[in-house]
Amino acid sequence: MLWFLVEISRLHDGAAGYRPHLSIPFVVFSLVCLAFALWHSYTFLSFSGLIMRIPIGDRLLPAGAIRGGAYALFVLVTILISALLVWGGTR
Amino acid sequence: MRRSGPDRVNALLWATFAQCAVITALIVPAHILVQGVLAPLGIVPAFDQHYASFTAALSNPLVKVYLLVLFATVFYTFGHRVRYLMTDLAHGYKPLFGAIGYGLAVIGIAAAAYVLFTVP
Repeated sequence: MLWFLVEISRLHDGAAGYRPHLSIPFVVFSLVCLAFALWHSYTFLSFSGLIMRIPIGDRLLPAGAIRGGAYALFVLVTILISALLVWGGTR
Repeated sequence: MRRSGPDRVNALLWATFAQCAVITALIVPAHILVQGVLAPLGIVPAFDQHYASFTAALSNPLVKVYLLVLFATVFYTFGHRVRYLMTDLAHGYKPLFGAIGYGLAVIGIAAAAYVLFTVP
């Protein structure tokens, strides 16, 4: 995120001075960050089944269903945001 | 003298952390995957790869607000984790560690807001 912020601040340099992150070391660094980010996503979305209580009549929605819904939402949001980021690059 | 009753400030800090961590868990991997891996490798285009597309995206105020939410949730999650990591490592300095953790978060969020709302 800090590198992304640096990239945004480089817009102050104008079209001639702008340099996006494209190097192989940056890709390797991003892969490490992606692994940690996915671990964070897995642990936090797994918690959702434990801490959320969704009543259906006089029963509660099973924890597995809540966890499955959280993972499905994660996949949906990832596809949506990825599509928007790519679409922004084609304009 | 310490007042009796629930610690509402601490509860609010933890509730904010829970919300920020869930938002971070949902949206950050997509940004890293596209902007950090796929686009630099040339597999897909991304809005931050060219000056024109980047400024065009950031000219939309909704994009700026979205990115500010992204940065704010990430920096708050980081600050809260830093606070409790340091508290676990060394007992007795909780207020100091809170000031460091949340201070870093506030600096990060303020820097993000400044950068986002002053770019062309």
